[in-house]
Amino acid sequence: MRFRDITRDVRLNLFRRKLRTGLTMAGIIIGALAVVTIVALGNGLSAFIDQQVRSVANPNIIEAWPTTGFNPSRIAQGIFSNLGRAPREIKKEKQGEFIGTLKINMLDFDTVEKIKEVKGVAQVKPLVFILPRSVQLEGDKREFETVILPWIQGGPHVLWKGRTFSSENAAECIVSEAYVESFGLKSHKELIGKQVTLRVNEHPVLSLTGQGQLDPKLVQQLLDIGRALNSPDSDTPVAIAEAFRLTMELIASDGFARLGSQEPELSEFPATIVGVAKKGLLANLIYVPDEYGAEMGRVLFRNLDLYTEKAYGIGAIVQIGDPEKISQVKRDIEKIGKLRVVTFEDYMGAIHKVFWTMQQILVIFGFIAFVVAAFSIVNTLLMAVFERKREIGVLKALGATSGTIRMLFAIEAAAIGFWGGVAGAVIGWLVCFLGNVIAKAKWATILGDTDIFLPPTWLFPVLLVFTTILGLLAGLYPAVRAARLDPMEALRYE
Amino acid sequence: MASIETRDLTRVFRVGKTEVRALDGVNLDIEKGDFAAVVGPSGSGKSTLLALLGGLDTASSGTIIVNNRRLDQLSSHELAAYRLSSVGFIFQDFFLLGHLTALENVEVPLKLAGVDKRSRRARASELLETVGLSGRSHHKPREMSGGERQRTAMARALANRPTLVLADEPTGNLDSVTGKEITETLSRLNRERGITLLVVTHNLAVAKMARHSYRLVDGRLTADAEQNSGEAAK
Repeated sequence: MRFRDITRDVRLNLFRRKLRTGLTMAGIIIGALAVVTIVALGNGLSAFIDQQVRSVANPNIIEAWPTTGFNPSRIAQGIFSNLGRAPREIKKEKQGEFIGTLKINMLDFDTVEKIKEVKGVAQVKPLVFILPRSVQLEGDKREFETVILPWIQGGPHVLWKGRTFSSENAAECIVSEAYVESFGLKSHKELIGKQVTLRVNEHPVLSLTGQGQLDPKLVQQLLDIGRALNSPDSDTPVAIAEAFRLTMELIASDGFARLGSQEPELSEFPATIVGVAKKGLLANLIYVPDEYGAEMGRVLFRNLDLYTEKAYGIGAIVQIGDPEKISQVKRDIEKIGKLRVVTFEDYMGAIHKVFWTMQQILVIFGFIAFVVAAFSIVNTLLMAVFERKREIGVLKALGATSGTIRMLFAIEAAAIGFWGGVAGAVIGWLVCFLGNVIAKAKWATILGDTDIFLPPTWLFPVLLVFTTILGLLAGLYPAVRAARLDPMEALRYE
Repeated sequence: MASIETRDLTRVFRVGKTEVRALDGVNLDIEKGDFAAVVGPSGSGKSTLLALLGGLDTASSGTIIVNNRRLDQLSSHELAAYRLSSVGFIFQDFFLLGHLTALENVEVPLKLAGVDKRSRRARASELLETVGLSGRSHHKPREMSGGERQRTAMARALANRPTLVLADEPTGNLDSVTGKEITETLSRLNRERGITLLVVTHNLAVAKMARHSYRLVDGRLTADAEQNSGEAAK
């Protein structure tokens, strides 16, 4: 029997029981629809986040950290991932990476010089951390939330209107377009030239310990008072007198006096708005000149030496001349040794990995529908074998081989899978299309022309191959049963 | 040279613990191009004999030789090929496929043989014309009379130019007039095309039209094979 005739007969058989075929296909359609929409949404969101981050960040920079000392991932590993594993040895050279020996190491100047010498490096600057509290428009008492970043971290496409900074320590800033709404202005044009105050916090704990305010002597004195008050004979006049004496001693100490003199600071930095960044998902960003940013960063650790020739900081930001050569530059910096080098793409890779993982988890739910659909196909075809028993007998009497009968049923099942996949993919595509229209109407200002449902082109062929094979596998058992029917018994069947 | 030759052909069915001998040592010789009838009451083993000769069933013992081929030595795949190319079946219940038209039903064996669409359409149309159904080719079985259905089944049986046609009570579901017409058509086809025709029936009128008729009782073929006048063959 020719393959074309088999497919024609299969089509005829499927159309003979339209409702049943449709209901059997429904499982495949739902599965395919779920997979298409989930993958499209995951893909779209991932692309959207990618685009958003790229619009506010600089993809041409590399971060370099010392490999020794503070390492967030190793510390997290120590806390969470050591379950069931033998505790690691704390080697001298790895000290500072472990939770019990935590140490924040500064990047040494020799290493910074070596980085600067790497071919393709345009400039190297300290990685500055700023803990912003708020931004306040001159003449307005309200405070607004903000994230302040040094300009080097801004991408090449950040500036939308206005200009860049006049110098590295100019009291200027570039703000997100979103502040137009917060400040109650009419358009971005009104932002430019306005004066704002950027309020920056110091780290509440680091500011104390970092500058030695909580010196051990002070802590020891506090412990002594505690012990005196908690001793078994604490209510005796001698003990009370001793506690009083210790307290007076503490109050009179230098450490105590210093603790009182240095209040946690909230520093204010005036800045003139010189440029506006297009509003995106990250709508509260304010960029400042690098040196002005470093000044704000020094507040965080209350360390005036930080980001100067005395203390470089805990990491470096390396700007690349030719973005095409970023991988090569990364490898060359790694060769310097004892450096953990992270590119923008590495960060993006981590973000995409999170989306990919989420997507995979959700796709599993789609596959549950496929499993149900496979059982439905088995059931439908077993019924078809039962109903068409006499027909199978006739075909065998007319000369059909068992192989022909087997193929007829197997291809029928594969066709259910294939057409179910096609229908699911088409409906899924329509859902994505409608989803995009609705999303764009609802979040026009954020999304712009971005599609939030972005079905990848490889998905359709892969899905169709999958659903067809699924159908074929589901149809194998009924097909074998049909092929094994004894023709005489089948002909006698009423 | 005999077209059909069976020796000690026995078919035993087991129903629970009981053994039923549907055929018991049947020796049958039918010449090539003959029109033979096997008569006998219900349950005498007529249909079993036909199923064995048509390669739809396998014997418990004995030999079957059709056109010099021993059917009992063929694999299931070879038996399917034998049914496809050498044998045509006509059943009492017609066994047409209800969702297909008369033309499409006749096309089924041609389709199984891998004949292309145009050729099989032409062949099916010609066969329907031969059995006098050219005007009904696009009707489905439910739109046709019993006689028309059986004619369609006859056309289908002849599709792959078989050398042997086996008919199981071909007039069993038809009135006497239609039954006679069908038998006459069968006889004509046997005469004109030289096809060996074996009809099993309990209708003596049909048997009378055959050149040779045999009686089957309780699975045994009686020795007194009749030489008919061959009424229809004249």
